[in-house]
Amino acid sequence: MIAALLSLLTAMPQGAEPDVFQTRQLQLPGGGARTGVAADKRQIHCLAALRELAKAVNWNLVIESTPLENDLRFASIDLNFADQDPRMVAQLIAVAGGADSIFDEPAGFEGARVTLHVVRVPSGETKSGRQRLRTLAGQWYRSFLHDELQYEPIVQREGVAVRMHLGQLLVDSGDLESAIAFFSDVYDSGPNDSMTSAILKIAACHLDLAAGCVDIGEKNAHYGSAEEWARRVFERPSSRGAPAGAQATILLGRAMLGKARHQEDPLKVLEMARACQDEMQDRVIYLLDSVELMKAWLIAGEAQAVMGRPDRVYQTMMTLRESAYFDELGPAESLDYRYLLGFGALGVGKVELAHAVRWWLSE
Amino acid sequence: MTDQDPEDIKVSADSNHEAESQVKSAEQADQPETEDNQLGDLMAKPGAAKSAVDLDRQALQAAEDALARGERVLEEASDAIDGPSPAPQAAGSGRRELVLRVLLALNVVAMLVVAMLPSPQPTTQPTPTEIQEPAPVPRPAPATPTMSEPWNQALRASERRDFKSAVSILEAYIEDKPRMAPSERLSVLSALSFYASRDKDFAKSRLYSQKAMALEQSHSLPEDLVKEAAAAIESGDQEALRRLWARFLLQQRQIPSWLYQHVAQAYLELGDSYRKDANEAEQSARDQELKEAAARLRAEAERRGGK
Repeated sequence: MIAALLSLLTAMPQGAEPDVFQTRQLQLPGGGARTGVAADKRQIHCLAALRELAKAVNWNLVIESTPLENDLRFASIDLNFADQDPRMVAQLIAVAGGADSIFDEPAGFEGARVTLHVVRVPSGETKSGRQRLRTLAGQWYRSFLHDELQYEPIVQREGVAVRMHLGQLLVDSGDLESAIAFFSDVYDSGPNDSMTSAILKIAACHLDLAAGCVDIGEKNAHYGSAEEWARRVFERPSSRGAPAGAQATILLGRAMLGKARHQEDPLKVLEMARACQDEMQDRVIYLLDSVELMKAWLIAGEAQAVMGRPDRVYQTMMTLRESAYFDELGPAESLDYRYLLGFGALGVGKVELAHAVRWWLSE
Repeated sequence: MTDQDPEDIKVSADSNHEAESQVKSAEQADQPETEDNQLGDLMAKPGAAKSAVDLDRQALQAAEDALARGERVLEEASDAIDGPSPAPQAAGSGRRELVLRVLLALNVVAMLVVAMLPSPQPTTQPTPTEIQEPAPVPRPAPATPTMSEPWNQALRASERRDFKSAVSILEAYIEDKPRMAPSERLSVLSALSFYASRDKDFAKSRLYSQKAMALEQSHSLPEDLVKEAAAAIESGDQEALRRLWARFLLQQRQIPSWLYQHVAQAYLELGDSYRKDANEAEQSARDQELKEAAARLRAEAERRGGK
């Protein structure tokens, strides 16, 4: 009987195999909680790791194709970490297997689960592929700037450059508000080589945001912010005559002109347009002959057109025409030049020139 | 048994005295001789041979006496063992057997209770697995994280010199635990190789040895990954660089402090890698667009020129 009992005991399972991933809820400093995953496993292939992770955090897992599944099966990794974000871990496993991971948020019904799609690395040949590459770059840069690493020498050294990269990636992706936050961080981090560049980018972002706004109040607020940021460049005397000064002049002119155009009161429009014209005329003195200088003249001409002064517009366009860089004007600036020249020529009675410009514009 | 009679001691002392006097007389006889006739001393001398025979005889006598005394002591001891044995205590033996049986039953019940208890749940914090250095000579009981039952069984089998059973036990063990920790797997494979070689199954021994070596070499340490990443940067292989840094970041808990700076570097270079790819692709797309626009304009100009 004892022998039978002992044999029964030996036949009983000695505890289930432990899961590869363990999860636990981590309390966040500002309240709330997040799920952290831990693992300690050697020599597991990426496919098994992804399956185990999906099981541990209750995700659906979809692998793009069988060949990709096979590739993931051949890529072996070691896991040894704790309290990591499961999405970050999924991304790392996918990258280690030469793939990419995309998350589908759960549908709005009870019991719906997150779906993890494992796909090939995006191709830069398509617009969406390039956008995905930028998003991935942004994700890793955010991890680089994570609080835990802020005292690492490399973060201290490269932090500003990474914030600038991250801001530019966001600008390229169209997320201007987020981009402004990163450029502002660079500005706030104290004197550095990228400070002027950050100011210019913030001003440019506000101008683009203003252009996309329908609400007049919001639009003018962005123009106001752009003007404010552009003026900060002139607070640094070394920037006044430098290329940064030229760019700041253009941004300042566009902001002032934009604000002038979107005033309800005609007197205010006139007043603001005059202010813009005066500002441009004062600023171009510091600029060397360049394409930027011509752009500043064009803005001054536009302000004069808003003021209803074709004679001044004609004069300004004649001045602009004398620049050695005239042939280097871009298509948009060339078009502006033709329009303003025609407007000025008509205003000063040069009808033949106005007709010629009209024919030129129709081409 | 080592005790000697005073007479024997006296005999022995006398014989020693005689021997000493013999040696002294021989030394005195040797002293006047020169180096030229030292070779002649290698030959035995008649007087010395006689005294040596006496010594041998006395020594033999002493040994015979000692043997005789030993035999006597042995006989006495044998008599003592063969003497009357203590009477069996019939009274109370039944009760003692009953108590023993009850204790045995209680022991079995206790074992059952322990076995029925739920196994401890794995904690959320995984225990770090130590990376074991490969032993130069495989030992039957390597330092494994836990001395599990199959290990003990294999060890017992090897003590009985039943190496075939030891191999079978460990083979079954390794098959039953596909998720065995690499360090433990390495130990089991090394032990299997050792047991197989003792069992004269050299093909199997070589196979397990190769498996152990492959496992040992397949494990990439963080410092190796850092070196490989540096090589990937030099060669401009962005895809390899991303894979290496991802593998590095997946084993953050075993990164030594002097390598921790590379965690931030890994994030930075992953970001740089994707950004560069995006920028290069954007530039290529722009160049392609310009080429297409130029081709369109050229075609338009040719069409107008044709008119």
